[in-house]
Amino acid sequence: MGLADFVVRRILLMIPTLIGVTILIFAVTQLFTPEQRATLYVTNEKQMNNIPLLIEQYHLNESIFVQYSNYVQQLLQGNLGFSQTSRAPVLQTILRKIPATFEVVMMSIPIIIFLGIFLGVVSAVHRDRPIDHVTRTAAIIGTSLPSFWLGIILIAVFFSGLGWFLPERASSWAQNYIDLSHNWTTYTGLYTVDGLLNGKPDITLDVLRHMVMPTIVLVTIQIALIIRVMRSSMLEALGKGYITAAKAKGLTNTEVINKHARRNALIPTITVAGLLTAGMLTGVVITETVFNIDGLGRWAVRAAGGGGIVPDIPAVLGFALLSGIIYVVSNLIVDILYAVVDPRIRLG
Amino acid sequence: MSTKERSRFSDFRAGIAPAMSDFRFTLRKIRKSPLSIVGIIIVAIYVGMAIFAPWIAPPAVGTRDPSMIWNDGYALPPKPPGSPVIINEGARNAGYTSHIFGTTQMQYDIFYGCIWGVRTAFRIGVLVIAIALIIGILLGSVSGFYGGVIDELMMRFTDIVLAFPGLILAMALVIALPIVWKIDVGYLLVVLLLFVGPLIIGHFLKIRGLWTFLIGVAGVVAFVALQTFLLGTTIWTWSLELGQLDKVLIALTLVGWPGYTRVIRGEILRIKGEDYIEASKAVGCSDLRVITKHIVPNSIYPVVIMASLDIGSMVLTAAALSFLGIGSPEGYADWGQMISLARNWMVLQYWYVFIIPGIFIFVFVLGWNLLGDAFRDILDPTLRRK
Amino acid sequence: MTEKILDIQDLRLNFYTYEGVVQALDGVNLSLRKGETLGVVGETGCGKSVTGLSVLVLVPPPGRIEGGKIVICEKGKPVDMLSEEEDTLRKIRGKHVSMVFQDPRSALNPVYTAGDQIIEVLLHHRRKALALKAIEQLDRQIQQEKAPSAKTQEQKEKKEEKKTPKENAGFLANYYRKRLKRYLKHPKALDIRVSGKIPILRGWKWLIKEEAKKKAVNMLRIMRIPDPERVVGMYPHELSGGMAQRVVIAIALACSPEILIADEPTTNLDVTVQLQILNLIRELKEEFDSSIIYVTHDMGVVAEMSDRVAVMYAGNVVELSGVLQTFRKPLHPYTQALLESIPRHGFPFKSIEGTVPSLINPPKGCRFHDRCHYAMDVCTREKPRMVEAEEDHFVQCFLYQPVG
Repeated sequence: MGLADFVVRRILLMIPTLIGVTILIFAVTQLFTPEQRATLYVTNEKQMNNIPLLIEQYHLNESIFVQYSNYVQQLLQGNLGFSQTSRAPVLQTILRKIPATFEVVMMSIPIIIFLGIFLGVVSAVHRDRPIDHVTRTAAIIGTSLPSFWLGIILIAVFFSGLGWFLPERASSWAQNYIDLSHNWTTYTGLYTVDGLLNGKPDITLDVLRHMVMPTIVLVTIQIALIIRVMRSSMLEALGKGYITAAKAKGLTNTEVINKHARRNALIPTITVAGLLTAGMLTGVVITETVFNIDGLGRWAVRAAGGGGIVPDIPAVLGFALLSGIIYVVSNLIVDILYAVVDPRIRLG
Repeated sequence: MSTKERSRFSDFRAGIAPAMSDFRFTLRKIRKSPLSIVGIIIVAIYVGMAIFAPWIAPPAVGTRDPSMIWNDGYALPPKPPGSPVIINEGARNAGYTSHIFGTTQMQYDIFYGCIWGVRTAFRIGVLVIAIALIIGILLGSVSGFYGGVIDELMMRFTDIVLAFPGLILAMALVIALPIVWKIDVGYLLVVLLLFVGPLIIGHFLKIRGLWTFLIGVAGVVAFVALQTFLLGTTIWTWSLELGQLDKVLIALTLVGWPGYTRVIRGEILRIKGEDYIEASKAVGCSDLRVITKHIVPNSIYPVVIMASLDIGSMVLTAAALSFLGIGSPEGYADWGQMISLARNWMVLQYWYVFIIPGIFIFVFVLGWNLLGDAFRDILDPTLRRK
Repeated sequence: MTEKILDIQDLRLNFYTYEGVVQALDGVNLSLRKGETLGVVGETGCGKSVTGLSVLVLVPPPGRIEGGKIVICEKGKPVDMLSEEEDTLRKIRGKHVSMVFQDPRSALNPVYTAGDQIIEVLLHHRRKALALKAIEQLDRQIQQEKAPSAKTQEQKEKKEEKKTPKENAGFLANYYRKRLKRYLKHPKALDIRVSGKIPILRGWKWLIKEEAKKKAVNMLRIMRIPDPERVVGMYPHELSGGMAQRVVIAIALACSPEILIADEPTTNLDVTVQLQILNLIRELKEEFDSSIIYVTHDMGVVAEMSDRVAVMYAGNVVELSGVLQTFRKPLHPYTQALLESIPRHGFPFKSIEGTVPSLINPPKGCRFHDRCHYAMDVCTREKPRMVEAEEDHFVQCFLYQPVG
């Protein structure tokens, strides 16, 4: 069938799922009263005072079909409502806060994937020997740790105990510079990258230092999954006939492991890695809250009423919708990668 | 023993001999793996703590809900372990002279919270997983068994729910669920009947396949219509007042069931293709019999493994929700909630505020994870004879 | 008398399993002469496949070789596979001794093309030869440019102004040629390794691979696969059983090994394809001048393919002789029973009574004694040695040995 056809088919299959995502979010909105639902269509602060008008305008008292078509219309126009928490339209808030989240996630994911694959291979190759037991035990411990707990412990030890930096995205001098200085232009919103682009590598370093602890938390919790999958798929691959055949060709053990076993073992791991990347959003919510990073996660938590105030419905729903979309797109990417790596899939 | 009895007994022993040797093999595997034993011990200890909570940490005299932690005044800073109980008469009457593990912000006793937190954890973990498991298995079985359009629709639906990261969907649901909720139990019953009904009807009428389902659905619809005409409304209407924790439970259940549906459906599809299913149908077994005798026993293992591993992660998610402030209310005996009170005290001086409840969470989840891992190693038939 | 190129002496092998120690091979004695096909035949579980794997020292755990010698003749020198370092063994595997596997689908890695897997073994063992070929190819290319035909000379003069790509190619070709020559002399030199990693500069490596690819296509052609250029790029799951097995054979023969071990190569194939593969192997043996150990359970195949036959039972070689002698005058009771049990039109169906013994608790003495009609008292106590009962006809049985 070929790769191109496969990709096109997969993209087409994604569309109904995306529609389904919107339907689910919409269904959740139906649990609210019409007044609450109106907040989803608000675009600025003034409109918040005019709820009855909005109810009329968006037919919020009518049948679900009418409401749904309205909802979708608004979505397509980019109107996700107005967020009380951030005092700005939801879409705008999301775009503004993405870089912070992205930065932390991007630092952790490569480590999780590559270190995880490496440890998984080592574990499988040295099965039942000390290194295997240590790795597996460490992995189980990693999945049993509450991420916020680990974060708090790290903060308590490193900030209060050792007097390192405050948990936040950047030190106050750096943050002030970014916010206030005229010499600073925000190119990407990623402090690390912008630091270099602005000719201020000291800011980049400062931000990197601050990211160490959140990265440790994220990696510790998530790496176990990769290790586990990689290990079990490696064990399966190593038991296959082509391994003996490869050895019969005279290849060294390293070559057999790396070229033959690992390539096959990577296939299931890609799926898990993809799901994990999308699932990082969960981890990010907690990490951002604990480490006081001004990203999507922290905003969503505040919006959900994490302080006893009235929940900011458009924000939470907007965040949920975004998560859904990210998940669906990650699945797509994973499926495509799958087809790239495993020629058997391409026949569809 | 007469010869006749003896031979029947030895027949019985011979009959169960393969199962016994299998069982002995399983026990041996458990014994060989020290981690599984550790898991079992941990879970057993927690079960003990949950059962004996009223004796280990007696509720202060005069409390209505033992799951609310008593506090010793309202002073802000936490007090270290060993501090004496000063103000609370009820606590002192119950036998407390000092705070064994110290207090959190607002003077909640940590010891009490941790011990009663075990009950909360079990309630969340076991209840949510059990209900999600039941729903998941029901829906997954029907979907897998009948295949076709029903299967397609169900899979799309689970895909969509699974498209959301659990924590985030739970967050959205928790804020969405209203405090007072009228659940029409009647609706739930009807839905349940829609799935089970066709099977039972099919069993007695001796029909199979998609027709069973359609006739069953028709039967149930007729039943409901009759009810509506005769009684005016659906069967029972019941309103529940949802506490904060209940909302969390419901939200987590709604997030959790699709996983099991998919796995069970996958297993069923695999088993459907096996020859012994064809054989039993050829012999004339009704759908119900095929399901209960053949499909369920063979498909249940992966789901059991999943469930035992999920108990741990469910407790973690619930703890996270509580930590973020979206879970249990303040003062509830919930480990995550207690740690959320530590947000202002993340320094080594007040280590007890977050370390101790955290250890309870960590060890609890660890125990269940080890147990689940042990189940997986034991129940996986491909790994058995090594 | 042709010389032996493979001599297995007293090979012992155990499998350490949960249920106990399986004494799979109990002193196997075999020899392979140059240019011959030795058929190793026996029932399932007699140890024939494991014997084949042992020659390459590739028995997977929980199996372990416990004793004996496996001597092959490599470039005139005897080498005991069981006492050599892994490094030496790797130079032998695939190059001097190679193996064809029973199930072609599982022997091929599903994520690599057929061509890649043939190229792999070529690159591993034949780099220098391939590099030489690449140099030759480049030389030809450069010659063409230096002394072009009259026509191209004209064309060149016409396009004098433009810098043709061929000129650039000339420069690159010379560079590659120099690199290749250097690689031949000093394969591990630093500059070779460095230039091997940089994109354009490492083109010389690519040329070697191209040569390997050409050879792979050629191998497929020799395997009588139609349209080999296309098959080279196909994945194992796209190939039929017969084609896949041809690819496996191609991999095994790519480096022209002296010894080929064929482990039931046709068992998993359709009967019609079986015949094709058998014929192919026979022809290839001539072309490649290999000696073959052919492991099978099919007496018919043995009769077709072998020059000599080794009959195995429960981890021992019980009879070893020329194929005609074995079939016409089987000496060992097991061989006799085996031949009698081949169904024949008009004769009543005869089977060997009893079952193959458990190898965890093998019977004492001769392992066949509990099923043997001629069993004597000594058979239950001692194990017979292999003796030459007739000329070039070896048996392991007390019937042909002076007792005591």
